[in-house]
Amino acid sequence: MSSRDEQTVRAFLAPLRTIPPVTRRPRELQRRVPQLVALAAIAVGAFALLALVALLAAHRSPSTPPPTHPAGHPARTSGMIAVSGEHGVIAFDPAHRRPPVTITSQPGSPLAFSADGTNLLVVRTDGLYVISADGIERETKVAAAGTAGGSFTPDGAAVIYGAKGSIWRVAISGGPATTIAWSSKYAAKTFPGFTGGQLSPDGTTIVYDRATGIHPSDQSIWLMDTNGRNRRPLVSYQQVAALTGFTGQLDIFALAWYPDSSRLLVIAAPMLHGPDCAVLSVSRDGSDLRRFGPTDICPARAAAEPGGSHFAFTGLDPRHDTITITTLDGQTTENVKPPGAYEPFFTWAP
Amino acid sequence: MSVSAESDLTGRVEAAFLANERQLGRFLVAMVRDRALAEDLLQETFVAAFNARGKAASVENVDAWLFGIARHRALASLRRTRRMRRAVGRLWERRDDPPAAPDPAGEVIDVLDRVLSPDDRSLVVLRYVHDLDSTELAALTGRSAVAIRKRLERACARLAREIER
Repeated sequence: MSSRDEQTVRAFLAPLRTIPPVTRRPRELQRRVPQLVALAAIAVGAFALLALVALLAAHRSPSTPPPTHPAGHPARTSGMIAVSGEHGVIAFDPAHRRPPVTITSQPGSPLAFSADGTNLLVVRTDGLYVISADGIERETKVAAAGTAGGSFTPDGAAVIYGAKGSIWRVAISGGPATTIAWSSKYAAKTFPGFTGGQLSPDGTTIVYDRATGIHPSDQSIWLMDTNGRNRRPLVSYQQVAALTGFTGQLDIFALAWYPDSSRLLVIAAPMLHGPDCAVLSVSRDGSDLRRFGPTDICPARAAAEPGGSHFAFTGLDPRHDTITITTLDGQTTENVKPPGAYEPFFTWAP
Repeated sequence: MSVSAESDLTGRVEAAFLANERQLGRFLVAMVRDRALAEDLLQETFVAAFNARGKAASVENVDAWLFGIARHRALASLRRTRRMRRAVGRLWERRDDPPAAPDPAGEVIDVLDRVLSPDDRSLVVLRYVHDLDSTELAALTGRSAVAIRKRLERACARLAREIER
């Protein structure tokens, strides 16, 4: 090996020796992790058994009235924003007229509501779940870990999501997923491949992010029909670079459909340096690409209000731990503070 | 295994982990460039090492073994959530508290991220930041020392070209 290269690399990497230490849990707790996991499993099992016994007893008793939404009705979350709380997934009223409600006591990051508000798509570290939004805590795991986006079909019967470099469809009851579109194994393994997978509110078109190579221009946003056909580019790297002036590698991905499915919000952020990013609005046919609203918006995620008059964004200024709500033209903004710990994943209930 | 042998192994793993904890943490931050994730991975590394402490008896170099576990965790994590973490995590990095990797370390990680694959990145960081030699790297990756040296040579040349550009 060239010793000159080696010396150069050694000197260059020297700052990595100065990274401040990261911390672990207390040593006593670490030592007990396997035991704690076992105890937790036993406790969960015992609780499940007790719950089953109680359920059977209630079912057999003729005097027991039929269950009537023990924790409420889906309508209780209507118009609310679901976020990840300290003790599960909660929904809060951005106008603060109603108190927050717990959708599930299990942890998770909410991604999307079904159109009728009865189900919520949640991502956890071990996979993608469809959970009942009525507080009954029914849940079905529909995909393994490795996905961070997805949406319900308009009839609420299936979920579209991106994973393993491909776009998939799976019934909300679980079972085998079918591939709608797949990138090459090489692209999926080396680059993200196809990710995202958001169905338009009218149920006709899927938008997905495409990263299939190392060249900056390999980042783009594409559309396809729900059967995986008619794939066409929507926003290219070159278009974004020309509009924003950004150079080098960019993260370009779809944020959210407009409620009427006529346009999409997308984000472009330089991957390597600088705090800049740009939110763009593009017409569904790709002919009209322009900046969205004020230039200081730099979100991690966005969701349209199902009623059709507002967008909400997280990550605009994470120092303030707020969700920013704008009108559809992005001109009028308002910040609301969600209860609990701030996390960029959220969705807006119909 | 007798109680005392079990206790010895536990003590050996814990001592090795304690001695290498800071280095392991730095390595994980350099790999995943996310302090919160690095903390989780450090914890996972400890739990994995603790659970596999029976192997520590036959491991010649426990330090390298721990780095091997950490490397495996980092690569698996990058494979699992690469896109999501890149998209969301990059925005989170702009938080005032605490930065994912402070400059100039962040600048270095940017270049490593851009020029080298995660696998090569792990080898380069372990070799030139944490001073594991090619024999140790061979042991923890299951490759031959010659293959490691060749791989490092290529990665180093690529990196040097980028640095000098």
